[in-house]
Amino acid sequence: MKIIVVGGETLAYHFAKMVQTKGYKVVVINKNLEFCQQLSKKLRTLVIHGDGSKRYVLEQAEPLPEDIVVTLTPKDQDNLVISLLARESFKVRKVVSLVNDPNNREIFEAFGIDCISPTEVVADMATRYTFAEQIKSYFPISRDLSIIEIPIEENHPVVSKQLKDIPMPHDSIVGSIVRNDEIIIPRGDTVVKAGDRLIILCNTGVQSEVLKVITGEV
Amino acid sequence: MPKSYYFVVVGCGRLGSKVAGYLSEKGHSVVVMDKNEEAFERLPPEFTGFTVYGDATEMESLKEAKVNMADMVLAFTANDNTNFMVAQIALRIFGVPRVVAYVHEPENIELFKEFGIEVVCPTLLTFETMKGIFRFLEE
Repeated sequence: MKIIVVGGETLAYHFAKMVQTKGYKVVVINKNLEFCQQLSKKLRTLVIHGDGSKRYVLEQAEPLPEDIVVTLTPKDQDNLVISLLARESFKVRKVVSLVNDPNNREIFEAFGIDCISPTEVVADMATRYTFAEQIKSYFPISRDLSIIEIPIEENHPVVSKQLKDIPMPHDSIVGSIVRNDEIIIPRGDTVVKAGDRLIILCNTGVQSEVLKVITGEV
Repeated sequence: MPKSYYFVVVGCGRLGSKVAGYLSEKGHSVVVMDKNEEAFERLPPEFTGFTVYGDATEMESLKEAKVNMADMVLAFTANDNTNFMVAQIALRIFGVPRVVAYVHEPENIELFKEFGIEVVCPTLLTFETMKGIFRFLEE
């Protein structure tokens, strides 16, 4: 089994180096001649100079069904064509593609191609760090839905209030309260106490609003 | 009177602008899209449709052009891979019944057809014309 890396420069180099040290055979395809020359010296592996979205270039890497093809070009249209060529013409079962524009994920997924979206990964990490102080844990369920856990402190405006009196934004709901290691499935008349941990299911878009209502801070 | 169709032409180049003018003159609704605003200057006077300035590989631009309503999408940019992606988004995501793409590299024709795209290949068409010209060789 070998790993065929198509396109991308810094990313391709580091990725190829990483999988190579793990003992896999790597073949790199790249359009940039200078990059190819440097890479073949640094990695001592087969480097093919050419446009990987062309069948006759991809063919030189001799893709087999058990191989893995990873496409890392900065253009989603190129990644899509490479991925589908690998799958349809060479019957490669495992194809992983970089998706530059997160909105394009849908089309890649429609063809069953595994996607890596750096924009989404970075946005997700940034969200975690930004809200790190108030949110104890954060589980993104999908791009639009997350479960967040907020520990309640004395000074929070919701303390001693009944749930029904807390103006929760639309698309958010307090699904559970953890109090002294006990799980409460709350009702409208459940009163929030300091020390509680609120488990909230919400649309990612209203997350900051939820935080504001619960903690009083932005 | 024949039915009026809704066409979205992606890429207002030499072919795109000509086809857009032709369809418009025939009384169909046409939207032409290009990521270069100056490209619309190519549109002939008979063109009475709309233009959308945007990158067709971005879903938002395709939504703006109301691709979901189109009877046919024509992917006519200078790049085969862009045409392929636009065509696939039109077919798979927006459910457009028919999509035609301009394919420059004859090697790509098979891939396009395999994925349900109708193909126009200038290289092959030129070649056919050339064969006509070469007919004198057999006389």
